Amino acid sequence: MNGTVAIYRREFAGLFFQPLAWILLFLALGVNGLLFTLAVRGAGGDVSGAMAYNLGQSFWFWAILVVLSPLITMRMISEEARSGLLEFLMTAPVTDAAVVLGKLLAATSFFAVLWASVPFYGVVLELLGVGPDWGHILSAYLGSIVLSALFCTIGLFASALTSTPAIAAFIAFVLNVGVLLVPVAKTLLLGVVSNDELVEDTIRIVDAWTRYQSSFVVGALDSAHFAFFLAWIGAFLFATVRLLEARRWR
Amino acid sequence: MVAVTFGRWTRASLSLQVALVVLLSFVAAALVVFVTSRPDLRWRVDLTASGRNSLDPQTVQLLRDLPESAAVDIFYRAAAGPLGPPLAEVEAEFRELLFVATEQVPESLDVTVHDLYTSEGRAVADRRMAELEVALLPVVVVSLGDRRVVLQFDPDLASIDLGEADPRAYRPPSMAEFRGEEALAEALARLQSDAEPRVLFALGHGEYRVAPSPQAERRTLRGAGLLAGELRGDGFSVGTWDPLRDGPVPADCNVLAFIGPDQPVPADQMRFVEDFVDRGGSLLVAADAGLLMRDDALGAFLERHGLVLERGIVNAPVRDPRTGNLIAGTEQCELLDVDEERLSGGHPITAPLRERGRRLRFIQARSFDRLPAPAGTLLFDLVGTPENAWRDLPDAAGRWNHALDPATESRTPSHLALAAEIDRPDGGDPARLVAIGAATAFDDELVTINLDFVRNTFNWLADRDVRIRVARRDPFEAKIDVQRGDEFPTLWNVAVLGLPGLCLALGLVIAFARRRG
Repeated sequence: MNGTVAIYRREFAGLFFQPLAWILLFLALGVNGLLFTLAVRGAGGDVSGAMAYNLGQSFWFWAILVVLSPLITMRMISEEARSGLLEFLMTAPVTDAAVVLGKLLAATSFFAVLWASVPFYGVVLELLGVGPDWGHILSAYLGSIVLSALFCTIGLFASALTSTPAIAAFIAFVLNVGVLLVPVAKTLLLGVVSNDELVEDTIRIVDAWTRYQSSFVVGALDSAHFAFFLAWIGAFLFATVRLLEARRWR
Repeated sequence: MVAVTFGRWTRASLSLQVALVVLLSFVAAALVVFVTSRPDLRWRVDLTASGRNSLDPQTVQLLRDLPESAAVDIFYRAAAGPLGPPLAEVEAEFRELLFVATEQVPESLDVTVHDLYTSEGRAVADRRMAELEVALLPVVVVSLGDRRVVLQFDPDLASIDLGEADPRAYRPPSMAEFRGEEALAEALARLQSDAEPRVLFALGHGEYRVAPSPQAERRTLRGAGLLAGELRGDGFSVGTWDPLRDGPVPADCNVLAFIGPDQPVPADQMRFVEDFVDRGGSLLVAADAGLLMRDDALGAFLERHGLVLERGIVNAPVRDPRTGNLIAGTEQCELLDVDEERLSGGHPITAPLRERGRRLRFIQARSFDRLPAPAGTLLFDLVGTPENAWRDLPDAAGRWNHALDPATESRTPSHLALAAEIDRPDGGDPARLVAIGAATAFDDELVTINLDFVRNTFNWLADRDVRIRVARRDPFEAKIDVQRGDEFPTLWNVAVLGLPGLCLALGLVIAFARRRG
């Protein structure tokens, strides 16, 4: 645990003490804020709907997630491998799992700060006398963190596959898009009316988009959907740790 | 210290092992996802203030009690015209309800939204509709095994307000009230009920036929085929009874219906009916528009219980489309639109209709005079005659003039439908009787308009009143005024300028600090 915390603090400082992170936050928060206010206006002043829109129902939410997570995670392993820092890290008295977990927590923290803007809008609205549905907001916010952790884990996995950050970012981006396209693939495979339960059940095991929309975004916490995200985060983390280990033997 | 190097094959073997371990980790994740999705290992918490992600506890229990998954088939195609938007809204709300149901009680429902836009989808939908014996769209069918319940968008899933067509005060149709959860819960309760009441339609006296009629012949034939289909869809077992062929009314009959007899029922056959009523059977009599019949034992039976079928056809003035004035003397006066004010609010057949502002439509309706109820009979008003209506009598040549003749005709209010409870000789639960002045209410042309009235009638006669009340959920509203006041500009300043600006400023500070060392 101490190793994880140490790595997390190192990575967190590395992220947020770089101007790049703040520029990315500036851009993402600008887009997010604009979308939110346009959504509020478009909904005739309804703030709850606009908040759900910003935390999972808009194209830009997914675009930010799919594009930013590879950018944040691409250097975490591949760049360090190329510069030789990774060998230094792997000889330090921390386990490979602690290294990966610490990096994941740091990347996820970036997104937690980004998506915290929506509850912050809620605080502003509360101060203006229009109390939003806090249960709904917090459910969606928790979901956005869990979802961001999944995409960051995929980014770390891609980063562990190669020593070139650009290639790592590309692989992560392709995997992220693949994750989002699972419902589309399902429709193409099965048509609009599905009568193949096995195919549907199989797709449901990997369908992150539908599970996210079915629970967190609508304000419900469902143990099955929560376990889905934790299971796949765990699987990708495990895979990343194994890939790191494999470097020792090359 | 000895440096260890690995040969090519060793490295390949190690890579393969890593790949296998990675694959196994994905398989393990899939397994965890599969196991945690089991209904008995799953819990769900609705954090919204309005409870929009939760069903009523009664509905949840009904879903949990299902012995197997119930199939829900949605047959809907977006329609042009003024009714398009409200029907689309009903469909969207019902699909959202089904989504909540499948999330809250997994594997309880097997939902199929049929594609009616492509030729392949339509072919599949047509086969399924034939299997379910439904023909009208839009419709939802909830089925369990070989039993099914058919839910119409209007009135089962929602009430549609038809709006105001008058251009001077135009109001488009809209969805007035959504009650999809109640409809679904009642359907589930009905499907799980062991009861399948048997309805027999009497034949042999010119009654309406209940065999399905071809669409083209529905206007000319006296047919109630759609009614029989709807009753089957509601879980009734439907058959016919011909006294000459079958003798006494079968013991398994729950409701005996005379729809539009235009010949007298002889006394010997009426004895079968009276025996049936004496043992608690329920009777429905829907009068034909013909002249009063001599030696009609059925009419005499009604009269003994305080219901006298009056001469003539109830007419009401109609509005002239050109002048807007009420006029008489036209055949359209036979078409009665009975509004909710004329429905009784005190009887389970008509009270829900009155509550929801439903109207009925009758053509060539007779009326009843209600006499003081004899001993052992309780009478209930159901449907009254419309305002300004009168009983139009034929002239000596048997022609109708559809105009009020004050000398012989009157506007005295009367009854288009009545109900009765008749004590049984053995002291058991009283038998039930419904008398309706217009067999045309059950006709293939009008039954869809009067469907909720028809269903309530048969459900009451069969003592199958499944009413589920779902607790109303108040929608959570948090709104700001985007046109006036300071709320929206403040929000804009914080969201678009404040927060991003703060991040940019922090970034610049950090960049500056790093440059300085």
